[in-house]
Amino acid sequence: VSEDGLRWVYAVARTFDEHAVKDVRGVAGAPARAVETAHLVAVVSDVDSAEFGSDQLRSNFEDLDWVATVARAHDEIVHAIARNTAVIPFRLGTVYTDDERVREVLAERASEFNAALDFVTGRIEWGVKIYVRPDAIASPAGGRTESTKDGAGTAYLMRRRAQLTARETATQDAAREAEAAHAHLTSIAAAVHTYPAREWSPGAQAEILNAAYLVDESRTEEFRGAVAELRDGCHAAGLDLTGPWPPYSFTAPASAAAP
Amino acid sequence: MTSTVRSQTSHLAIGNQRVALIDLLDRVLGGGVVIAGEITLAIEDVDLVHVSLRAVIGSAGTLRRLADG
Repeated sequence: VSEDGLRWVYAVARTFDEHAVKDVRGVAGAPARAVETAHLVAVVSDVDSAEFGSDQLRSNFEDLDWVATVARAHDEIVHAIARNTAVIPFRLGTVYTDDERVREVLAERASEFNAALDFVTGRIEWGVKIYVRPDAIASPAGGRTESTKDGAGTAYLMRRRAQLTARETATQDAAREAEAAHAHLTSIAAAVHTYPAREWSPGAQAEILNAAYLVDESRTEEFRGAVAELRDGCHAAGLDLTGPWPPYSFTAPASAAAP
Repeated sequence: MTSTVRSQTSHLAIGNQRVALIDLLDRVLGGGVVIAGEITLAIEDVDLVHVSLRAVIGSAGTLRRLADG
């Protein structure tokens, strides 16, 4: 442990099993280790101040490749810890000057961390993204008229109008389906968090909903089954399920209780 | 606590391999516990970063890369 190194924090938990992270490298290649107080453990790894110091960290965060690499390393450690115990993940880029500062934070925030750990214990986060299905837009219910009698220009305008109507109808239908799906999934979940929906997504569909659900482990199959049923039942909306996730979206009971 | 979480193991192991970068960034930049005033990178900076990142991600070139990531 170098004296001028910094401490990157992955998560807080009540226990730490070093075997859980023995095959995983931290954000800067250093192994994850525990910084402990009486009842809480922060999982940290040493990082170099040349790369993770205040100014460098800020400029590195502008580099998407750097962020992607660090995000994956951070997540791998958090996932590894979550296999054995409840965890409260830290926001990417939480860095302290030394172990003592980390211990101070654990002590200062002990009741907050304990409440958050109680809240997520025995629960799993799932992500559901709902979007307008491209095939719902591409195949309007009214069918197509191939008549050429009206001339090419008119035919084009009619086709164009039909396309726009189909898109509008599909978007409205999908929004209605998404609302119903969200209500149903919320009724199964212990808590819900919604992220901003993107106007684009990797599949190029506009997202309607980008939500995280914290689900009791005992209701895992019920939740997954509900997602599968909703996917089958929706004709305009598509559903993507991601997870299981460590409870990134539910790190405080108060915020998790908010709509 | 250990016993209740142990059965997650297979789920988490499987889930981890399928993590798409875009969903991961939502969570590690938009979720996670935030401790004000004690982090090297101020929260406002992260939020700004998130905004600029979204702009970058929105460009067509990185879109495909993220979809594969």
